[in-house]
Amino acid sequence: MSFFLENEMACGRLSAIRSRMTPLRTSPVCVPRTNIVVRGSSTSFGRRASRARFDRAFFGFIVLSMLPSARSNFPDRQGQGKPATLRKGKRKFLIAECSQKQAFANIGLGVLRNQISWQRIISMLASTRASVRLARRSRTFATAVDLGGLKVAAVDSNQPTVAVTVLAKAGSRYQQKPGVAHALKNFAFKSTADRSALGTVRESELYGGVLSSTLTREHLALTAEFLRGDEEFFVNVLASVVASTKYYRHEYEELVLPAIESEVNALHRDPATHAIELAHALAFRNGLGASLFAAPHTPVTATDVEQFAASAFAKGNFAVLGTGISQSALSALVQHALTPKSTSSVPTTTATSYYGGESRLETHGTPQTIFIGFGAAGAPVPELAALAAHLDPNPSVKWAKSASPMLAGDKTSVQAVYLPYSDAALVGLLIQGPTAAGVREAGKAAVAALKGTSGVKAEELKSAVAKAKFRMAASADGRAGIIEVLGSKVLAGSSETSLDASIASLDKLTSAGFTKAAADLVKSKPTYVAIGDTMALPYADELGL
Amino acid sequence: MPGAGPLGVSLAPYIRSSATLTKLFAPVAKWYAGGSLYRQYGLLYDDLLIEERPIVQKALTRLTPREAYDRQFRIKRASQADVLHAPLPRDQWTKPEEDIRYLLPHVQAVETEEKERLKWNTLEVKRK
Repeated sequence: MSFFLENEMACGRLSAIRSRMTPLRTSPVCVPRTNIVVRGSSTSFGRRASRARFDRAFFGFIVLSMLPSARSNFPDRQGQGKPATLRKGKRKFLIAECSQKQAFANIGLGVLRNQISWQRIISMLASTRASVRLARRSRTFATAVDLGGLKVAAVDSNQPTVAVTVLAKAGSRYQQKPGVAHALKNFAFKSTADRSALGTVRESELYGGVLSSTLTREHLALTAEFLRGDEEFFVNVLASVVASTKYYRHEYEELVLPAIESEVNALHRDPATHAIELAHALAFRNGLGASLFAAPHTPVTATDVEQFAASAFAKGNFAVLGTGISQSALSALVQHALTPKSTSSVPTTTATSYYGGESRLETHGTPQTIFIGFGAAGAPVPELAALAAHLDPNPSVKWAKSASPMLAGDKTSVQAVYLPYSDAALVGLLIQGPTAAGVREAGKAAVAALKGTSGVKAEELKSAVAKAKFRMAASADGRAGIIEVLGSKVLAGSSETSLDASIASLDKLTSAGFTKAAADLVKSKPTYVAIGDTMALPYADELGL
Repeated sequence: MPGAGPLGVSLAPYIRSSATLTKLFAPVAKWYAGGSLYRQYGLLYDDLLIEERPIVQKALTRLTPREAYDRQFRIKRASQADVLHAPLPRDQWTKPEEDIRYLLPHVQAVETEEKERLKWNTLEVKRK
């Protein structure tokens, strides 16, 4: 279910747009993500030898700049000024100064003098970093600050790399024209007042960073990931993308539309993502029901994208989030680089209500897929997270055999889907298999499971709650998860930036509350999607819905 | 090499930078443009730009559909007039104020992009 489409961008041979539908299993939000990937190539700078020399010098420079006391000697490396140059005399002085970090200095100098092998460097770095990490346990909770309408939040857990994300309330639910959010997502990192699309990619390449844009139904995220020390450049890139992207018509036609097209093609080859898209349209109609993907022949123009971008990046509608960087350092950089424009129109969306319905799509060459789900309007309650965990028939241990009747068919896969949004949630089961008959059997078992939650045993509930808690916590473990959790809270203006409250609410869940929430959910009209051989795939009423 | 691009060598920017020279050359330029007959065949100056070059081909793809259509129309009409060995009727001549450089900005943009690509392709990274 994961697609990697690499196509040569107009930006040149080194770079490619890598487009990915996030696998449903790990992140059920079905986020199309575009990475401008910096591909390591020995031919980057003409000759292999010169590239290797550059790598070595660059790496040595980075190691040296990681010296804590070196940093304190270069105040402008942390903040606004231009990056400091490490002159030879000064470098020696620094190394004499910081004897406690001799290991770092040795590595840096060894690299510069071409004396140490890479294997040695890696092992030395590993041991040094480990000791440094043990010595410097910094706080790991996020701090948020409001800089005159611009929200900045950061959490530093001493990672070796930094990620800075501009998160805007400009997901597909806010779009006024179908597909414009998808177009804006693909318009990220194109020509700005400061540098061209090519320049952005090539310059980021020299720093070894990764620029990516991600679209969800609620948010648009522009992310730069890079090594510590390059904060200034990448915050600058993000700021110029936000403030001064040109939205040229020719770039839209030459770079953006092909990217959209390839993502739409990938969607049509991925029935799982497609089923979730159709389910949203049935369940929520407008607003949350709007597809993440533009139609194959989208009516959106570059001017539409520009207008949407102006409202998306208006003051108060976006936040800057960092991981691996302190909040004060990020605030200083952001304040220096970015002055958000205030406009009268911020993107609006309608309050979500749940409808439900049935949809069937004839395709061939893809697995037979059905989605059976129910939705609920209003802020998601913890009972639904527990219900999704309870419904999941997959064993927690790899290669273990599940006793669930849903997985009785040998090659049929069943996934529990739980998609919480700010004002609605979609819970269901996604069933895929090579034959329609197998999918039908699993579908019947799934409907029985959805309707049979009244007889849930106390220990089953306990394990479902534990599973839901783990999933919630694990989702906020990775970088994307932190951004999603932290970002939605920061944008909502909430001072609480951790998941503790949500996890604690799962602890308070009672058996009666769980049964009632499940019964209420199943009482509503089901959302049913069938993709594949529609002549053989069951209808909703044939499954007992 | 200067002047090797599709736009050729031009002294116009220098002349335009000086008020005296502009005053001196503008009437001559107007007379020359009128005398070179392309306006009598309903063409614009940018229709004459040599298009058998990758840069101009790329620039042509960036015209709006309307601009591309109008260009095709003008070229067809002029070809037909040429077959007939006679300029168009006077009401179809291009008026001097209509003779705008619709292709020039696109050609210049593509040229700049190509130059930038060359710069990045041949970049030498120096250690500081």
